[in-house]
This record gives sequence, structure tokens and C-alpha cells, in this order.
Amino acid sequence: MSNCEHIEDLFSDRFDGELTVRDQDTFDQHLAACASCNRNWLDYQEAVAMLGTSGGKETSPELHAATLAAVDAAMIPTRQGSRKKPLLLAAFLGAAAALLLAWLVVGVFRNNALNITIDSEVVALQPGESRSQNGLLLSRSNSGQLTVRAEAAEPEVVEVPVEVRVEIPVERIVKVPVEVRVEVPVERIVEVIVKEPVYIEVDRGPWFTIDTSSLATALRDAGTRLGSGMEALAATRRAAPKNIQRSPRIPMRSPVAKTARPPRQPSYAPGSALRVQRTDGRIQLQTSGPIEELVPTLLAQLETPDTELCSMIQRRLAAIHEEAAQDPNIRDQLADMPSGRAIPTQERSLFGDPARPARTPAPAVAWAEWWNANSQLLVQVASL
Amino acid sequence: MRPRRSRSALSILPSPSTTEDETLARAAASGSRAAFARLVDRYAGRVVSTLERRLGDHNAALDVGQETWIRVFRSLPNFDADKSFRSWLFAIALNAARDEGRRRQRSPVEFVGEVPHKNSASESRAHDDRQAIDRALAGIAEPYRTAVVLVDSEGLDYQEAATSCDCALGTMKSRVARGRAAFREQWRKVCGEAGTTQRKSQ
Repeated sequence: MSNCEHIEDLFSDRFDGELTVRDQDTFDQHLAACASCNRNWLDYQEAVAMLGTSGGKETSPELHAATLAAVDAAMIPTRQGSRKKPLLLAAFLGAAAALLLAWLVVGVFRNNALNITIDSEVVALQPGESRSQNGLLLSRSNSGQLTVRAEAAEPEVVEVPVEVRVEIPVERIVKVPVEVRVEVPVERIVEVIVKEPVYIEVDRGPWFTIDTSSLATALRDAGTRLGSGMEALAATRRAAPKNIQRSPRIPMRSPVAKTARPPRQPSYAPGSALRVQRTDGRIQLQTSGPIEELVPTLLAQLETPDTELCSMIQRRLAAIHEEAAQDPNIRDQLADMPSGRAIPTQERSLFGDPARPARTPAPAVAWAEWWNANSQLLVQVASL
Repeated sequence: MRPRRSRSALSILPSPSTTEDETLARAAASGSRAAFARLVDRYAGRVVSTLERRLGDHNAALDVGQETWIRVFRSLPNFDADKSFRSWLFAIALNAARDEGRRRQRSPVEFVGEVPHKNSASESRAHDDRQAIDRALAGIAEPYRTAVVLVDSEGLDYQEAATSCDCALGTMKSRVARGRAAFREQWRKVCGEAGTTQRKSQ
């Protein structure tokens, strides 16, 4: 082997900087004396460096989406118990709300083990504390979030398909009706006693009722993500039954804009109606107003009401009322309404207070009265 | 005439943090779809690029790339987070490419050495460079081509590349050395072609 051939054999190690000191000296001395090898070394460096410029290809959005779609498609047959039913999506807001709600509800109970995260205000475990009870481990993180995990080796909840169907006929604004059907069947019973009184409870049977606190947390998160959260609760209005099917025009933001950028001001829906029908574990909701009105309705559908949660909602709504009353746009809207529907700032109860009947019913109280007047269809709100 | 480029003009995309890769893989194995999507975002393009050079066919590379991620998703629970995610990923990709290669042996496809996605509006220099590199790589035999693609193009270290190719570290170093030497020869030929030379001299 000639000296030049030997030097070329060192090119790769030299490029990687892995030559020994002795070989490095030999290499440098030869290149200083050999113009041919010196040129070859420059060519070598350029060629390998060119290779470096061709890698690290970034992922295009199209490739990213196609790859995830392919993985999703490949995984569908392996999902046990999934029941694919068509979603009727008539409006983007409805679709987003339904999918988000389904995601949240399923997300709470997905994976193999039961894994429920509930609001930190509900249960009084101290940060860092954990408790094992009835095969479940409850713990609160230092940030205050409470987590409930099943300790059982086998999954407690085997199948939790959720179907959410939303129909929102839309012209320029959202009209009626909004229909949400929530079906959450489970196979096994899981009962969790966090602390007296019971906060989380899952009923045995083909249908399953989500406990107040966890669903409220999920819905509140959903509302927050959708942009208006529970602000719309304060805007719930009394409506005559005839308004159930079709309500006056609702001055609210378009679904797209509302979803794309959360509005800072609460969404108001004067004259909106809200109806609930519940049969055999199926809850059917209709509203002529914002979809966020479904939040109190769903809460009203739940067993094991949580007084602390209700109190928290009341406090939040009171703040919303005060904020809304100072909003000039809302004041303008209310000025166009019959005088009996104006928002009284003193009345802050969403669900009404039979012990303290208001001289002028608050909108929320009026809504509750309407709700209760239709007891054939509705769950008594006062039961909360 | 060989292309002349200053080293300062060479831009190599930084490799994603491997530590973060393993964290993401661990989260994805625990059911985090966001973590999996992040991994796809980081590596889907690189996987397709590598497969394209392995298979010589862009569409086949896209198909095998999707198959790779499906295998990754299914195998995530078995991933050892103490090891390199990149080497694990590319090993799966190369296995998928081998399967594709065996399938294609029944109906061989000629290596065309071109990236089909070409900007029709204007021939960008980067696109031409990429084509030239692909043509040069096409002249290198396996397994040397894969070795230099993994190490010099995708930035894997020798150990990661060796793991991906299921060979010894010394074997990988030897393959890279021979692959580089072969690539230099092929690069000379490609750059000696009239069109490329003319473009490079501009």
C-alpha cells in the first residue's frame, strides 16, 4: 500500500476527529507535502458535508396529518367495544363542543384503569397527601389537583363508549335546537368514597351516571376551551314553551369566531329556552341558546349533588352577573327586552331560592321556574 | 468541475434532543397522543427521507413511513426508554423497508434517484442539490448507503446507527468509511455531469 492510499484510508477517522495523535501527525505531514492527497481530502470533506445538508428533513403538515391518520385508521379495529355511530354535525360549534365533551368524558375513564381527576375545591385532601380506599388510590399533587386511580391490576372499567350527537341548524347565527345525547355505559361498578359525604359514585347497570364533581370539572374545562365557559350560565333566560322549537334571533358570536378566539365577554342569549328529556339512561337536551347552557342542565341531571360545587357555581355566577351588568353591549341588549327580564344585580341565584322569593324574578330564577313548570320533561332544578 | 461551497454555507438541521425523545416516547407509551404527535412531527420527515434513499421511490417511502409509525405506535409499550428512541425508530423503519424490499423483489422497481416533489415554479438550488445527492447515493451499494445516510445525513451517532442496522459498532464504522469513500466517487461523477456542472458553476 502506497503512502497516499494509507492516507486516504484515514479520511473517515480524520473527518470524525478520531485519529490518534501519531496518525494525525502523519496525516498532516503528508497533506502538507502531497498536493493530490490535499485536494482529495478537500473533495472528501465537501462531499460528506453535502450529505449533511440533505438530512434532517422537516415534517410537513401534510405528512404529519397523513401519518397520524394512518395510525388512527390502523388502530380502529383493535379498539374493543367501540361503536362508531355517525355524528350529525350541523355547526362547527356543536361539533367542537360534542367532540370535546366526548374527549373529556372518555378521557376521564380511558386507559385500562379508572383514572378520575376531580376539582381541587371539591375534596379536602391536603397537597401531597394520598389515601388508599376501596381499591383506589386518591392523591393530591402539590399543585392541588386531585387524582383517583384504580389500584386493581385488572381494569375496572372495561368499556366506556360515549356517543354525543349535536344538531345545530345554522344560518348566520346559532338557532334551535341543540341536542346532545350522552350515553356512557359501563360494565362494572366502581364506587369511590373520597370523604364523607360521597363525592364520586358510579351506579351499577347498563347506564352510568357521571358524578357531579367530575363531570362539572370536565364541562367547565370544555366551556373554558370553547371560550365562554360558564359565563353563559348567567345569561340563561326564561322562555315560553313555544320558544323551544324556535327562538328569536340570538345575538351571539359566530361559532367559528367563538371557537377560534375565546371571547372575554359573556355570551348572552335573551329569550333562549332549554329543555331536557331523560329516558332509560339517555339524556336529551335542547336549547335555543348557547351550548354552554347545557352545563347547568347536565348538572341538574346528576345524582349525588354536591353542595360545595353548587356553592362554587353560585359564587362564580354572582361574579358573572355583576360583570355582565356593567357591560354596555349587554345593557343595550337588555334595554330592548321587556322590563321584566332585566338582570337584577341583587339576585344571584341560578337555581332559585324558595325560601327567599324575589319580587322581580331573576332571569336564572325565571329560568328555573320555567324549568320546573315543565316537570314532565324536566328534572326539578330545585332538587339541587 | 466539482461544486465548490464554503463550509459556512452548509446548513445542517439540528438533531432533536434525544433525551426529550425518550421522554416523549415514554409519555406516548402511557397513552399521550400529544406526545406521539410530537414524535411524528419530529421524525416523520426524516424517516421518509431515509426510506426514500433506501427504497429509491418516494411513494413507496411514504407508504413504508406510515407502516413504520403504525409499528412504532403498536410497539411503544415495549420501548425501553433507557435506550435511544432514534435508533429504535430507524431500526423499525429499516425493517419495514426490508419487508418492502422483499415484496418488491417479486415486482422490481428501478431506482430513479429523484425526488418526485419538484417545485414547478422554479428549480430551487436546494432541490437540485437534493437530486444530485440522491443520484450519488443511488450509486452506492447497500449497506453502505444506509450507513452514510443514517450517520452523515440524519446525524445518528455510530452506536445509534449500529443499533438501527443491527450490527456491531466496528462494522458500522467500517460501513460508513467505505460509504463515504464511495459517495465521494459518485459525487464526482454527478457533479461532472454537464447540467449539474453548469448549475454549480453559476
